[in-house]
Amino acid sequence: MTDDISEKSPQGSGTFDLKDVLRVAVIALAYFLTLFLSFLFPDTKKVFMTIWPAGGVGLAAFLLSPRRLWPMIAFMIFMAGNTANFLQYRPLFNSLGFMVANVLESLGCAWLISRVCGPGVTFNRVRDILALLAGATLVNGATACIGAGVAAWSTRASFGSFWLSWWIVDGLGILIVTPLIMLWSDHRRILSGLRRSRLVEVAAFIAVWCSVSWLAFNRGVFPASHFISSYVPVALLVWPALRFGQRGVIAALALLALIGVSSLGVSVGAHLWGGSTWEELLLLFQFYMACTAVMGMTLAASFAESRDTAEKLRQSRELLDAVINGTTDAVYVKDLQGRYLMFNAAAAKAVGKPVEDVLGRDDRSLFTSTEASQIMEGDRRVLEAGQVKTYEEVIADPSGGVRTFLSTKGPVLDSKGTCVGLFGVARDITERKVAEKLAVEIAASRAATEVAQKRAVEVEESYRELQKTQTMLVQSEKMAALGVLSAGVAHELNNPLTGILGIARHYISGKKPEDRDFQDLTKVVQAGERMAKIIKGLLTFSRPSVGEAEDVNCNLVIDTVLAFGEGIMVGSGIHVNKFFADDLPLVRADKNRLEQVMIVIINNAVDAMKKKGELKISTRRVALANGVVAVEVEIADDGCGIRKADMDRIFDPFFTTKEPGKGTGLGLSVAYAIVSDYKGDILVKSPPEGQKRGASFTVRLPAKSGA
Amino acid sequence: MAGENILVVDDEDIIGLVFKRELEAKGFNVDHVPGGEEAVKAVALKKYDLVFIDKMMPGLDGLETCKRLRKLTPESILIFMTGLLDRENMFNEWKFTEAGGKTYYLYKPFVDGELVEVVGKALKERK
Repeated sequence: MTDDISEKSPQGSGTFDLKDVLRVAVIALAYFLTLFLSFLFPDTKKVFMTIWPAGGVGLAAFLLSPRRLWPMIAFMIFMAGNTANFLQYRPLFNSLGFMVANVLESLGCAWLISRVCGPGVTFNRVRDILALLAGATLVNGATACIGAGVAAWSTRASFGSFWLSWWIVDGLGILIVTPLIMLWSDHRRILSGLRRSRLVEVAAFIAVWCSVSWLAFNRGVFPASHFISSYVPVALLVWPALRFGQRGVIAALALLALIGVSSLGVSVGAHLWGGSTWEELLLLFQFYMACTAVMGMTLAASFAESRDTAEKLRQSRELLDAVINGTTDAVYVKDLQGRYLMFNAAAAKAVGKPVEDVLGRDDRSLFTSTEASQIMEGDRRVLEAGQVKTYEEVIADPSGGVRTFLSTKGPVLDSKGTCVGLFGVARDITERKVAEKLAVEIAASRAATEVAQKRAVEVEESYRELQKTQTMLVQSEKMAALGVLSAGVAHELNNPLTGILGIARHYISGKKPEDRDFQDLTKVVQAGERMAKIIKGLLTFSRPSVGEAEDVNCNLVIDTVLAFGEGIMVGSGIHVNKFFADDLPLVRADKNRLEQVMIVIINNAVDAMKKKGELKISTRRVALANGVVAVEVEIADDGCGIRKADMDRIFDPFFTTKEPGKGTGLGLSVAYAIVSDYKGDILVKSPPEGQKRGASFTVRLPAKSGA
Repeated sequence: MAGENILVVDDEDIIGLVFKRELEAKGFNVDHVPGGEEAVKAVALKKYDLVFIDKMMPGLDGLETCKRLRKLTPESILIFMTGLLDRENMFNEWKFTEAGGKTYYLYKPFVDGELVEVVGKALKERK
């Protein structure tokens, strides 16, 4: 165990909490007691002990503790060992030397094992057992030199025999006691996994094991059991190794050691290893135990490892199976000859055949020869390229239709990277294809609808345009007819009117204003003059174009008109605001006729405002949608506005909203006729009644070409 | 400015009457004839200072009458009257000027006092 796992203290390394102190104290006490156990088995020279479990206790203490506690543990073990020796009146020099060797031995093994096996040594891996063995033989072999050296120095006896007995005694302590403590120290695991059925087997094993062990070390007690020798427990160790794992094995070994040490065979010497003294017998027995332990533990670790591997394999296989059998995609694996090695349920459903009928066969048994050759050709390409490829495959449906699969194929490689087969995952995308096609069709039809709608709008627009043109045509035809008519009417009326006016005026001139005849005749003259005005207006229709067209600046036209009308307007409290464009293009027209147009509109505005308000006159250059550049003159008043009902009639001849005698109803119709002559237009805007009042007339005339 | 002879050529009697009433009151001698033929005869009998000719008349129309009178009585001032103002009239004016002599235009119906003013202007110019 290393710091990473056991380091739970928030204080961090360098500080010790109560738990750490307790742990170290327990370790020191255990070590101390273990030494007293060993003191029961001294060697003949009273220098060494013939058993030494303390080496295993020390190593287990290091391995079970975080590394930051190691120095403290080492120190405490050292102190405990010396204390025990001191209490036994053992020489101080020996005690110090042996304890240095012991601490170094445990520490060295702990370092080696944690280095080789990493954190969490469980002795369930062969590697762990081999590391333990290396510690028990190599590290122990090195520290045995110190121990034997000290012993040889103090007793002047043979270094070799000291070294050998140290090596065997400490080695066995490490091999058996360390795993025994470590595997059984976890109190939570002692009873776990002991099911009732297992208990019977465990009891049976313990009975058999104890009997066999006892018989093996007490040969001759029962003549009938003579054939049971010390190799029998070695063979019998396979049982716990297979059935109970490392904990079982180590427990059995501990039992064997106890039985062996206490047996007649070891204590009296009547057995097959030879040896004359009890000390020699014990060393030989321990060597036997060490060999047996290495064999048993390696076997158990090996079984555990393979069980572990098998379990992991099973788990990953289960995961794989869950995915392969759970997915709705067809999943399969083929060998290099194209024969199916694996075929999942979805694939079987797709081809309409049970899995058993497919395994071991190739595509020719599943599909038509054309399809099979197509598929196998695809497989061949994937295997040749050695890359994963995705493409669509069209395959006949078992129910008669055709289905499309999105198929991903790739090579199956073994651990050496050699291609051993081909895997494939195929997804049925028939519905999706249909949906996609449908979506495309829907999009297309939507687009078509949009085009149709657009066209409908265009048709409607051109129809409206046509209607407008027709209206204009009707209007201009009306005007033309009126022109012909008015010419005749005017002429016919003017002569009698001239007579009426002339005679009436003649008779007025001789009369006094208070005279009744004067008054009556004045009425006649006024009526006649009104008629003359009407006739003059009518005549405008009969003269489509009077003056020669010239380049006209509409700003100047407005200025001229305003110069004439200014007096009236200023007197009547009307304020004129001019917004003239500087870049106004010229128009080709008769200036006088344009003035007439402006006079009509401005007069109407002035009348509508009833002597009060603002008259806004703006001119601007506009580019029309058809690319034509035009001049716009907008005359806007804030007067009474135009009633909606009147809107359609304002350009009709003789339509007037002015009081009788004031308007002829010809002004706007004449203005319209003139503007139409120049291919222009008059646009009228007036807000609906109830809203802000006022009206605006916009005279639009095409600009002189090139302007 | 009085005693001058004035001839009015118009198919409308009332026009003649207007001239008579208006101008006779100012001391002019006014004769009225209903058409171009009669005008030709009239100028042969009497010398006129001013001749008012209506443009539109049945028979000999105003322009033809003007042409004839121009030859017959070159010293007379011919004044052209019309109830219409149109492009055609402008053209006629030009043609008439080509034919020689000074020509005035008078549009019907006359404005109050216009007749006396025109007569006065024309006579003044002749002198």
